Amino acid sequence: MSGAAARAVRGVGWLLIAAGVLVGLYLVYELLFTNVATSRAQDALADEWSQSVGESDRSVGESDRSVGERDRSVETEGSRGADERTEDSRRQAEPVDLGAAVAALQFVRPGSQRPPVHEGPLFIVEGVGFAELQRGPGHYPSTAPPGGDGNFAVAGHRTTFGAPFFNLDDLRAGDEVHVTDRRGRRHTYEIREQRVVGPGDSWVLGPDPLGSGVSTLTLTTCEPRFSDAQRLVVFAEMIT
Amino acid sequence: MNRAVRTVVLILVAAAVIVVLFGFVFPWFDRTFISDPTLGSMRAGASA
Repeated sequence: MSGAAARAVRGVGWLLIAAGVLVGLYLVYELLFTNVATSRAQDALADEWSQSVGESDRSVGESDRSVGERDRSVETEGSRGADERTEDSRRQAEPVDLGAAVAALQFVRPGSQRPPVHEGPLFIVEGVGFAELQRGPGHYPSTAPPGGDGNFAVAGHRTTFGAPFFNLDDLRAGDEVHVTDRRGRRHTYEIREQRVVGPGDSWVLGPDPLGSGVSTLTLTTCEPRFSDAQRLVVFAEMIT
Repeated sequence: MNRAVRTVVLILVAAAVIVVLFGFVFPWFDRTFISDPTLGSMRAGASA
């Protein structure tokens, strides 16, 4: 082999090594670095949540609370005056800073100790921009607030950044999602169905995507995993 | 160039490259080509 050819082969070899290192670093970023960053952000949100919601939040982490207790809390909610409910609605509609915790979400499978999708609470941040979704699942600002009339829609990463919705496809009809709002009130949604839609199918974020007239929770994520060619969408309806 | 100085310079350059990659290049690549769990133009609208 001539000297020039040897140099060319050596150059190609170095290029391939550099490309390999770059790909390796990217995998470290995607599969490790982003998860650590999101885990830290969720810890910070948990601290913020315990300070801002504090004593009024008695439901996060209590996924196995009995139906009787749940009924009592509903009765308490129902016995409050109209003025207070109006005040609740007003506060609920107050804008929350982008990236701040807007709700805590917990998946529950009735009759099972093991929750689907994710163990423990996920703190939902306001906004679905790249920066917000680095912190955890994000609330589409144009949709209803948690527990409000209409469609409370949330986007979350399927892979990377903690992959909060990695197993979103595990949800099945009858599973529950407990959403605790910033006032510490818990709203229970029951899973109705899941669909795969295109990236432009924003009708799922409409005020009543199921056409049932009931307040809805809509969860969106990438489909399939490691690609955003499509979106997996799960619909749930409020039951309490 | 002194061997020790060259080693230090190499380490600094490698560290700078990693900071640029992890801080700017990879996040840009990720949000542009890889993962967007949102629908429609919601992400752009929310970030604006």
